[in-house]
Order: sequence, then structure tokens, then C-alpha cells
Amino acid sequence: MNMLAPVMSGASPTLPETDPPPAESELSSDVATALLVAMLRSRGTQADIAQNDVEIAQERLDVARAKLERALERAREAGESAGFWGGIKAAFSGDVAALAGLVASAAAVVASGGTAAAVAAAVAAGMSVGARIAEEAGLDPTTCQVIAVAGAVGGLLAGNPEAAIGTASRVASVARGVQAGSLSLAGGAGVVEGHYRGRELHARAAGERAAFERDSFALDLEEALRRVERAIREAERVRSTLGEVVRSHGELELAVISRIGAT
Amino acid sequence: MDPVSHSRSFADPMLELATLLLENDHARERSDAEALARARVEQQRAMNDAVEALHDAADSVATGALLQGGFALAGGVASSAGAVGLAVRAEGGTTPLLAGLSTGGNAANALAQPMYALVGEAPRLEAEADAKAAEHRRTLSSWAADDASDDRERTRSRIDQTLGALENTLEAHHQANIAVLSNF
Repeated sequence: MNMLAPVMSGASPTLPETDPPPAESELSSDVATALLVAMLRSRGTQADIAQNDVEIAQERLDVARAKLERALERAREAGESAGFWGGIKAAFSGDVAALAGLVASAAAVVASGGTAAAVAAAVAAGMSVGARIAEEAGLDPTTCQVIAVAGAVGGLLAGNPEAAIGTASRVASVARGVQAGSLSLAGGAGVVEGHYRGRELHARAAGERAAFERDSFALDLEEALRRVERAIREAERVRSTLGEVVRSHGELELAVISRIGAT
Repeated sequence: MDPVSHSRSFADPMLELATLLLENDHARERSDAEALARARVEQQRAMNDAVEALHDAADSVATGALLQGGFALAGGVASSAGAVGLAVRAEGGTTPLLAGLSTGGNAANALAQPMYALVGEAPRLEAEADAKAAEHRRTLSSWAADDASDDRERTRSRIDQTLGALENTLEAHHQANIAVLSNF
């Protein structure tokens, strides 16, 4: 009798029907028979208790499975939200801030007046290229315009270094403002990302607990099924022994009566 | 329910031996059941510790990100205000306020990452280490529970075998009695 298969399939286990014990009027009144009848009733009670435990364990197992699914779903949703805000943080702290920083550095070099116009022209050309690349990469159009304008201004300045210092200084300040603003937005996005990462990790921890409860209740279910199986097997043994005792008594009485009758 | 009584003495030494074996196996079965219960309790305790550590790690990540992002946000706003203010000043040159905003903002930005390392990363790593240690204890308890369960099943199997042999012995005695009476 394999009663452990329902544990794997998730179906509720069913118990085989057993024959009722022999009526007391059919039995002799000796101690052994009375003891065996008591044992048979005890096994029946144990089987009933174990069957009840099976039902309870099955219900708990179903609840634990549902809790695990919900926890994993919460973790997945929180992870998706964290990923979204993490992407925003990366964009503002990465591309935008880096390009704005590049503009600021280049404009500061020009504003210091310590470099030749050729260097300024090269920086301006690089910023124009960078703006095109940034636009193709899908960055904010306004940011691309800032970089492109800074590149164009740098190009103009290359033609008139003496007048460049004041204007380049302003470009550098604006670019630094853009960079700092990007980093602040990245910081804000980082706060939201951290909130969702925390929720994701909390949900995963809840999932760990639910998975443990599921495994634990599955073991309880197996144990309860084994107890039912054992109680039924022992009841069968006691029933068989009881039958043998009744038969033996009968044969013994017949043998004695036959012997007495033969004398 | 233990059907074998201490107070009964048996004429047949085989029956007495079977009685002793059954008593020994029942005692061993109870001992195995207690060992299994202890292992399950320790498993539960270790699991609780592991889950608590994971929750602590989650709190550390959220707190660290909050402080890091907060410092970066505040620092960025201050730096941005200082830089833009400098750019729009018609007369050029900086003021103490603008210089302070820029300096303070840069300082706050510089603190963001170390703050996360102090409040977020370090506690998270410590909590994850605690979770791993608790998980290891849970694994050991699980092995102990499996061993105790296997021992109990082996003991029960021996009990069944002994009872089977006992039944055969009793049947043999009965047949012998019938044979004696028949030939008397």
C-alpha cells in the first residue's frame, strides 16, 4: 500500500476501508482475547487520529505553498521597480553627469586661458560628436542641446581666445550646474531604488520562511501518512492474531472433546 | 500500547528473549523519536535566526541607500545652486554664499558613498554572514533529523520482524499442543 504518492502529486490522500472488529459475543472471555480486542480498538483510534493529522498537515502545506508564491511575486515586483529606478539613477549619474562634467572641464580649460585655441577647437569638436552620440543613445534632448551648444560655443571661442575667457567661464558654471543637478536626481532615484531593493529582500526572506514551512509540513504529512499506514497494518496483524486465537481455542476444545469422547 | 508485561514470566526462553528484544526496540524507538523531535526544534530555531538575519540585511540596504541618496540629493542641489548662481551673476566672480553652496554640496556628495559603506554595506555583509551561519546550522540539524528518522524506521522494521517471529512461534506451540492431544 503506497500512501506517500499523494505527497508528491499534491492530491489529498484517501484511506482504504477496513473491516470492523469481530463482535464481542463471538469471542471467548479469556484475557488474551480481551487484550487483543482492546489493541484492535486502540489501533483504530490511532488510525483516526493519524488521518486527522493528515488532513491538518495537507491544509497547512497548501497554505505554505500559497504564502511562498505570494512572497516570490512580491519579490519579483519589488525587483522590477528597483531595476527601473536603478536604470534612472545610472542614467543620471552616468551618461548625463559624465558628459556635463566633460563640458565643464573643457570650458574651464578654455576659461583659464592657459591653452591654445587648437586645444579648444579639439574639445569643441569632441563635444559636438559627444552630443550626436548622446542623442543616438536616447538621452534627454535638452541635455544633448546643452552639450551641442557648449561645443558650438567652444568652436567660436577657438576663433577668438581673448574674448573666450568670460563666456567659457559661464559655460563651465552652467555645465557644473547640470552635472550637480544630474547627480542630485541620481541621488533621489537611488533613495527610491534602495527602498524597493529593501522590499525585495524582505520578500525573499519571507519566501525563505515559507519554503521552510512548506518542507516542514510536507514532512509532517509524510509522517502522518506513515502513522496511518502503520496503524492499519498493526490493526490487520491484531485482527489476524485474534482470528488465530479464536481458531486455536476452537481447535483445542474440539481436540479435548474428541479425546474425552474417545475414552 | 505495549502488550508485553514485565510481571509475566515465560516458561519458554524463546518467548522471554522475544520479549526482551521487543522492550529494547521500543525503548530505542522512543529514543529515536526524541532525537528526531530535538533535531526538528533546532532546525526551526536555526531557520528563524537565518530569516531574521536576512531581514536585517534588507533593512541595512534600504537605510544605506536612503542616506547615500539623501546626501547625494542634498549635495547635488547645493552644488547646482552654487554653480547656476555663479553663471547668472552679471558682474562675474563668486560670493561667500555661492562658494559655500558649492563647497558644501561637493562635501556632501563626497560623503554619500562612504555613508553607504558605513551604514548600508557593512551591516548588510555582517547580516548575510549571520544568515549563512544559521543556514549551516539548519543543514546540520536536517541531517541529524534524517538520521534519527532512518534509525526509527529501522527499529520499527526490527519490531515487525520480531513480532512476526513471535507469531510463528506461538502457532508452532499451538500445533504441538494439538498434536500431543491427538496422540495422547
